[in-house]
Amino acid sequence: MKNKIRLLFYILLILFPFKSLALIEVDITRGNLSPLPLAVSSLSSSENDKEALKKELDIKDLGLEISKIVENNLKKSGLFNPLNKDAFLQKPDIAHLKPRFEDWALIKAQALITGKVNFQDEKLRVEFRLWDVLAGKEMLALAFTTVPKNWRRVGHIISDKVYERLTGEKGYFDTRIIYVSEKGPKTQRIKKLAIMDQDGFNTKYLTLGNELVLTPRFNPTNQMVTYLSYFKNLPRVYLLDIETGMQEVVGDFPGMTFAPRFSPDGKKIIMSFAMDGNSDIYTMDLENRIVERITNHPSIDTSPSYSPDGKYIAFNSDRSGYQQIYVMKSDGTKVKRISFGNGLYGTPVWSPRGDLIAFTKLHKGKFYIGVMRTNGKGERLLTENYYQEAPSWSPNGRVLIFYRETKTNSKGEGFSAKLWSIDLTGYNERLVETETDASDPSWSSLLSN
Amino acid sequence: MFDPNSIAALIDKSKEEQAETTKKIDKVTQSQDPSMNLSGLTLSEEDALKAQIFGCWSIPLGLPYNENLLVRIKLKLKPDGSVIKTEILDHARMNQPGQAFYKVLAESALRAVKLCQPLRVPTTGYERWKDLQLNFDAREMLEG
Repeated sequence: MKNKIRLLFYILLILFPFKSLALIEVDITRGNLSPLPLAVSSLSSSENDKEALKKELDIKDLGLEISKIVENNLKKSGLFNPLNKDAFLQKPDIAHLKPRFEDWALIKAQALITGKVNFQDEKLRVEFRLWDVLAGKEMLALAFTTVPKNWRRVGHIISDKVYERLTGEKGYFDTRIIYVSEKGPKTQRIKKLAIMDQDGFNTKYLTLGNELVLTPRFNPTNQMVTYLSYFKNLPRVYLLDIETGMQEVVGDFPGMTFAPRFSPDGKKIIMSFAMDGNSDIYTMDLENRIVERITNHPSIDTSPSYSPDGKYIAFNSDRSGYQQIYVMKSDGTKVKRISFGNGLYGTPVWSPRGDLIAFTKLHKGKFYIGVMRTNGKGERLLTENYYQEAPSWSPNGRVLIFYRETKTNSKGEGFSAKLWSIDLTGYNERLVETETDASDPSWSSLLSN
Repeated sequence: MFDPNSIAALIDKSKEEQAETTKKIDKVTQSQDPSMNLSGLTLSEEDALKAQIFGCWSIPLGLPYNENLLVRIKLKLKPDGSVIKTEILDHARMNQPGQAFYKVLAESALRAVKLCQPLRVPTTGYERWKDLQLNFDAREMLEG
């Protein structure tokens, strides 16, 4: 009997194989890469709070202004498409309590940001919520309390939190950019050190413009900056504390000195300078001021940049006959050329993520900003122009900022230098607004971390 | 106040089954549709469904491109293609350290399913496709 049942089972198995009962699987390997549509509702506040904040900050509707900062940041990232507020059907205060998701889905929003602004005990309290419209769920809810004058930063912090929750990586909005502000004709440029929020607001000038300033670079761990300035025609490396405004001379270096940059732990600076007419790479320990030679080669070695773990250094050198990018261990050993394309490669900058190196390339009279993996493979040129250089990474390694100069006409007019940003993918190239012409940008780490 | 654990709890709700409205339909035998593949969807059926979901899935652009970016979602469908239940098969990965991007990816896939429903399913053969697994893989798009 048992054998008969077994036989029947096998017959059934042959007639109706398991496959017929298997779950149908469909592979979805393509999607829509257009920016995610989201609604940023104005942050609501009571009439009393509005009145008090207007007195304090001279801003009529602070909740609306903060929502505009969030909207602007997210839009500029290229990853989000904030919808026009005119299309919103629900009032901000009610939406913040309980959104009518069908109303937001109707205008094609996939995410919704709502919030509330209070003014209590001379402090600004801002709360916000991020909602998944299609799932009908709250994804994130946070509140911040600060002094009212920090209201723009609150907008940037909200943007960072939303960005992180929706993309899975840290944001880059609560950051600042230091750069060289330029004014005047090309041959007589007045160059000052300037700093602004990443969205171009709150510009401050940190030097007077008496001396030439070059290559400001942020310490990746805090708000210190190192830069190069010429004092009596001699290059001098400075440290500047952005918070206190205190400046300190790190040292005078001989000959041509280039691009001091911090180590990832902020304890050293690395730069190149020419000793006996030969440019090599050196580090200086900021505590004991001991200078250590890292390369020793008759070629010109410049533009060093540490990997984020501090174990390697990328730099450019003409030791092969043409300027190319090399990587070595941080003690100067195991030097390896990584760029092999046509043209000249320079200013390598290691991504904060550690996986890519950004560079400037000159080929057939055009300048390119590109990225390659740390072994030199996967080179991608992101943007091409008449003259552009000095890429600097956003702290999340997603965006590069650089500067671009325009050609002068036959009368020597029309010269300009502007900051531009571009996404790692090569999309979303944008002019970064600055009060004056600008060059040599450097992006800070997140202020709120 | 924000509580990461409560977010995880909210996401868990996506697994919860909603009230299922059962609707009997006439079964279709294979002989009535010779092009039908008994074990799955026909190529044209699969293409129609894929094309629909391609349009609904907004791939988060910030994902790391060197990670496993496959999200498998099991669906229970009504005969009209609307979704009764969704289940993320590798759910545990969502809350693992260093896998924040996976949660973001999984949520984007769930949004695509919700945005697209009712899904473009065949008008016949409900028993075949009432349970369906969608494998969302962003690697090709992000690497390309």
